[in-house]
Amino acid sequence: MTFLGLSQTMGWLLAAGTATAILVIFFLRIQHRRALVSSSILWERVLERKKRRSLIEWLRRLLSLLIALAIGLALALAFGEVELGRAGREPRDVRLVVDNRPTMAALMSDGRSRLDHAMDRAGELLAGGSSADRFTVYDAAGIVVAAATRDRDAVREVLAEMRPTARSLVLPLAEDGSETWLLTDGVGAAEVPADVRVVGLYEPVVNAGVTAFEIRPQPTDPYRYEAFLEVGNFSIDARAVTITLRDGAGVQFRRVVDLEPGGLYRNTFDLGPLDGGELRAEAAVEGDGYALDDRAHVWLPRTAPVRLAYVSVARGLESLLRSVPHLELSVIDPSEYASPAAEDPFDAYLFEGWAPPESPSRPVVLLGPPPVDWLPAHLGVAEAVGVFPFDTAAPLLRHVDLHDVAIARARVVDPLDAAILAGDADLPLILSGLRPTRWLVFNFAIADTDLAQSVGFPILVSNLVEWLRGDAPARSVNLGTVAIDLPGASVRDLSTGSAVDARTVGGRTVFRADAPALYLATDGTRRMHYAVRLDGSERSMVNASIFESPDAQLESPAAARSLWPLLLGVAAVLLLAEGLTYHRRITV
Amino acid sequence: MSLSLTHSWPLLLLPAVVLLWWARRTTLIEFHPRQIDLMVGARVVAFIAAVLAMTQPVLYRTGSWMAVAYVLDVSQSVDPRAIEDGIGWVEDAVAQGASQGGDEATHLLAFGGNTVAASEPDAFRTLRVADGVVAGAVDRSATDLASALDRAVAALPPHHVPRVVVLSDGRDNAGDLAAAVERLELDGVRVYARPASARREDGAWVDQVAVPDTVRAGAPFEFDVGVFSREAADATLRVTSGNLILLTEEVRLEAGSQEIRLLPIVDDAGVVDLQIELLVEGDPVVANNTGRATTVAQPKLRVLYVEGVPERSGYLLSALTEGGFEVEVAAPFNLPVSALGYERFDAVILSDVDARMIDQGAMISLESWVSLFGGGLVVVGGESVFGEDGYQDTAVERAMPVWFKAEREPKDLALVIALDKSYSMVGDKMAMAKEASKAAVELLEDEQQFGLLAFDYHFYWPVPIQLASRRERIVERIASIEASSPTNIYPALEDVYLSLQTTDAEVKHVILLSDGKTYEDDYETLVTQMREDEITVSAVAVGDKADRELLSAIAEWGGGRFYFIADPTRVPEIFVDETQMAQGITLEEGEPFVPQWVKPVEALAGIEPEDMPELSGYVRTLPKDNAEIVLDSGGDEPDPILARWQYGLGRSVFFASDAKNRWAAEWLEWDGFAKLWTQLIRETARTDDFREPEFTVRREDGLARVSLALLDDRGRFRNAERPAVTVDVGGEERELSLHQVAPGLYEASTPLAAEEEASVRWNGDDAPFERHLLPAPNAEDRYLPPDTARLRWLAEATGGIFDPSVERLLDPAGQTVVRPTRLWPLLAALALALYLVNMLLRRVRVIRTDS
Repeated sequence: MTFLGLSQTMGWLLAAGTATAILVIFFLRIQHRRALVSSSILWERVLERKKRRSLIEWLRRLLSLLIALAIGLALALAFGEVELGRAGREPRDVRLVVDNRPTMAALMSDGRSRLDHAMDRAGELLAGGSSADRFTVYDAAGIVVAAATRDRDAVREVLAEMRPTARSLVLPLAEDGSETWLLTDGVGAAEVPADVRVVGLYEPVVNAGVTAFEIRPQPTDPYRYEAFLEVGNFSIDARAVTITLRDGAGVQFRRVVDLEPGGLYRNTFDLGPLDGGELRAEAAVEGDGYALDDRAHVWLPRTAPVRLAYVSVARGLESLLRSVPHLELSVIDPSEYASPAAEDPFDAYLFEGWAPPESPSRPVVLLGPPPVDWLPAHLGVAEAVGVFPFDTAAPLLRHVDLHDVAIARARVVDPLDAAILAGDADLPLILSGLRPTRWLVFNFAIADTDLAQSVGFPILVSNLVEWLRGDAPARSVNLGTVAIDLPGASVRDLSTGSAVDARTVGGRTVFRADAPALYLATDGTRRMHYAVRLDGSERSMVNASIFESPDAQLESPAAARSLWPLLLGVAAVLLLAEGLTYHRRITV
Repeated sequence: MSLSLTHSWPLLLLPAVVLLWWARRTTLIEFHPRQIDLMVGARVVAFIAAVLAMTQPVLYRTGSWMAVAYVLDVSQSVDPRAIEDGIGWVEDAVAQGASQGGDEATHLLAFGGNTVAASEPDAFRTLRVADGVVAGAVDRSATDLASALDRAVAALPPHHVPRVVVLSDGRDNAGDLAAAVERLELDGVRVYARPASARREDGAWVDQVAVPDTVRAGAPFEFDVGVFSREAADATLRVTSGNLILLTEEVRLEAGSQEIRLLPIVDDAGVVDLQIELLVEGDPVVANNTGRATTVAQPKLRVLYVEGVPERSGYLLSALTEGGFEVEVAAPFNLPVSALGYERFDAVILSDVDARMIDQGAMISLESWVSLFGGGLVVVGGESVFGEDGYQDTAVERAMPVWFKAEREPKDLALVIALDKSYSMVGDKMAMAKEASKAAVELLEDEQQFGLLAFDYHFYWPVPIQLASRRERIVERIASIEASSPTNIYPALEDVYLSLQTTDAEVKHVILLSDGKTYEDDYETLVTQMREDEITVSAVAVGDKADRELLSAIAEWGGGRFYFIADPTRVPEIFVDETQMAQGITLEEGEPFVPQWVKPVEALAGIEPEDMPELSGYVRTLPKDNAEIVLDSGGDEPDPILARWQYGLGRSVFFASDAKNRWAAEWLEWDGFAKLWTQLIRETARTDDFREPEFTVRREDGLARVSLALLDDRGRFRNAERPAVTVDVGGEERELSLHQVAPGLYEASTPLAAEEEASVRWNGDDAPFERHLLPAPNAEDRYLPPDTARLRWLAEATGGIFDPSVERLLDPAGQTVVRPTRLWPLLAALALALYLVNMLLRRVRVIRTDS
């Protein structure tokens, strides 16, 4: 028995004091009122008193005393929040480490996931603890998801929110006086310290999964992509695995292969014939109990030609632009340019030596534009610009060497918050911005430079078109909390078409992705695709547990039972019952 | 404020309270009725309290109870005085919080690489610290602010307004702070950041080293060293590789951060581990003055140097060798006739090579090598590289940025041939000499002048100086020359000089041909005088018996060219070349000039235009469209001196002057000679990037990650391979198989501790490749000023305040929380108290009947 609301000493003192008080009160002699009576009556009373002192009367008084003690002690012990089962035990500092790595999503024989079972076991641990025990919940990555608290209901709520998205298993450092419980399927858990109590949650599961699905542009043709697909059977026995590759137009490839345990199917695909868009690889096996690796997504950049409006008087780039593959060029004289209506027939604009007073809604490149309101403010003109810095990492300048480019005349503008790709803040030569549309400005006319004679000029033009196209393969990110370098973006799950709750944190957009899917993030002018998937190293490990036997044992402390609700009930009932018996003079 | 009941079923017991009132009404107890009422009332309330306690009611109150966790950075980078100052600040804050009477829950944490709790502010002073991982001690060798924040959040009790106060220099180097901030934001924990200054005892240190992934052996490569200095100071930067000092450079450090660009040279190909040492006098801490980096040095650029005048190849050869090239000198007639024959070279230099000495097939191969294989071709001018019979209409010309022709008016020329007709010339020599003289006449324009003096012991003018338009007569006179008598050059040459003095031609040139010895005389005075009078003299020695020494000297004194030929059949060719050169259509010679800079390019980096010496001749050409003219001859009608362009996959350069002591004599003495040529050829040479595999090794999350991209000879992905690498960690080798993760891309990883060094080797198809991973530097010994921007971001991202006052820290600022209060213990206590009252009322007659 232990007191939770008071120290042990205070608890027992309270009980003793209550009992003493009751005893003292009980044995107080009642001061009867004085009255004149006849002697016969007096003797009758004496006889009656003798009768009272009979055995029954003694039992009656004893019962009354016991009831009084019971009521008093019940209330006193309830106040002290007494518990049974761990007499003398100090409140514990319990740290629950819930393995929420993706393999915990594997289903067990009852159709519930390992994580569900972990929640059950955690619930048992919580129930087994006392209300004085402090619980801290860590996820597999070692992050505190529930700060130390005695509020077990709050801990249960936190546990219910946990998802199998952690990437690694990191146990919190041991602390004196704390006990650590690890609830895990044992996958990839190498060494667990001896002082950590492990609750195993492993059962073999049937599983086939996509372990690799990536695309890369062919080195000899950047517009033609190749995909690599790897599918494995990670069940403990041989399985027939159905492998499917599909895009928006339907199934492009399907094959059923028999794979031994641990067997892999690898293939590469020439994606040249496909139009681009979402591409999904799937691995299916009968009875698959681990869905997180059953599919993987990529985004194949659109191969449809970019409809580019080249607005120029000089038309100096026309021949070069016509040689750029995957480009549908329309050459427009500035006098014929009209602000596009709602249905813009072009995907992008290239203005040379001219700029419209209002920005088009589509991405735009401007070569040597005159000052207009929607571009950085014009400050002046610089002559004879020699060697200048440039960002070799910028996709626009990839494989383009501007070291030896001489510029006879360049506009000086105020870059404000635009990104400077060439030049510096004092003389930004090439810069890009996002408002009011995605724009890229060369602050000099091509004719005022020898850029056209440089080796990289055709590449630069090709890069320009790619910049305008703005479509690139999806970036691979891991399941869980996804942070992307596109602040203020809205995010959509392309699999469901639904918007995803996303927030901006520290200059990055953050959203949660609990299952493999393809997401589109856009900030109004930029579009970026993100393929959420399992980390490669996590895909094939669902049955690689340290537990040889599925009969993992739950090590549990002796359950404690809170007595105080019962004591309160007892006290209430006795208060009522003894109140009745007292007035009927059954008890005293 | 609100109230909720955990269980409502006990309320069903409440109606039973009427039983007590019934018992009161029918009581047999003999107390005063009012005492009985009191007795029953106490019991009724006790019963109700007990029943209500069973419902476990919770009272929810809204308030601003604060819980503050103070997180103190005690890592190595933080100034101990700043730590002491921080402790004092925490003491004030804690005391003020206590004095305000709130129920602030205070938690104190000290952190570095790990986090340790302290019981009270003063305990910060006695916490165990260690410069590494030691149980129970704060690891000062790192700063993991993210983990400290997580730990602080874990320590904060629920139902409080959570505050975390970070006292740090903001220079965290472990953990993911952005992710931690995201969690803080989700949990509504505001972080108040107070900057702590860094240690001030250090003078300067190496902050970072950015070395290219690959460099070229033998060539200087640029890399930046980030250096921080507390104050302006003179320092020495030393770059070493093993025991070899690659570079020592004196620098002037400014106060603050700066990047210093270094240009060391690595001699040998292979993996190079660089150590950069910063030496500053009086620097109290030297442990942070070293930076390390690794790079891969590709083999030296291989240059095939073809020199038309082998005896003059030394100048350029020396410059190139010293410039870090691996140079192979070859004869013009021995060039490969297949493009593959040039594959082992990165650049080919044709210097003053007569086109007729190169096989046509070799030229075509050379052009193919440039355009298809990305080779670099440099053609340097000279006496042999001119004229329409030179490279015009050849494959080499196709690859060049210039046309080998010039649109110029012929010069006003007087050309005199002094022809030895001594006995020894009888036969083929005389015949060839006469034919050559005829050919020279044919080349001249009508308005140009021609004269031919024939000499043996005596001399005469078969063709006095006259207009070339009289070709038929001149040719007849040449044909009539007969050989006789021994040789005597001086009188003949003297008469030529006198005759030419009488002409008014702008350009006067003499071709002296002889096959024998002559009498001694003061040739030097005569020829030097001719040169001063702007008459140039070239000399042709035919056969072994010719006085080569004298004729060579005459050519040198006369500013002309010297030819020695064993075979008289070459005489016509020489006379034609000399005539063309004298005409000045494709060759400009004699007037020294300083090349003019048309545009500054990288190849001329470090060369000042005003330092460039004069050249005394060049080959005239016409630039092609899209050619990049770097230098020209200046004047109203400038000719290209240095032109280049991209040709297919390769690049080609034409330098119109020479690289020898004829036209570029002053350049040979010039400091910029070697620099210009090495930079120019380095920019022109084929880059090996596409031949270097994408083989990278990087550290990530305690792992060494190896990535390898494989392409076949045609640039296609190589799939379904099973590459493996050997990882050497501390002398212990282990094999690591790479698995395919994408088209042509293979990866693997292996654990690698931060302090470990690893060497990863891949035995490529043709050659092994190696990459190194060096131990991660100790980030804590870079004592940078506090990163206030980062701390400000940390505070603002979580809604906190940067550098707050204690008052603002303890101000809830409108933040409230709902705190639950369990009411049942109070109710239980009430029930107990009333029960005791009830018991007492049964024993003590409080109200007497007679009262």
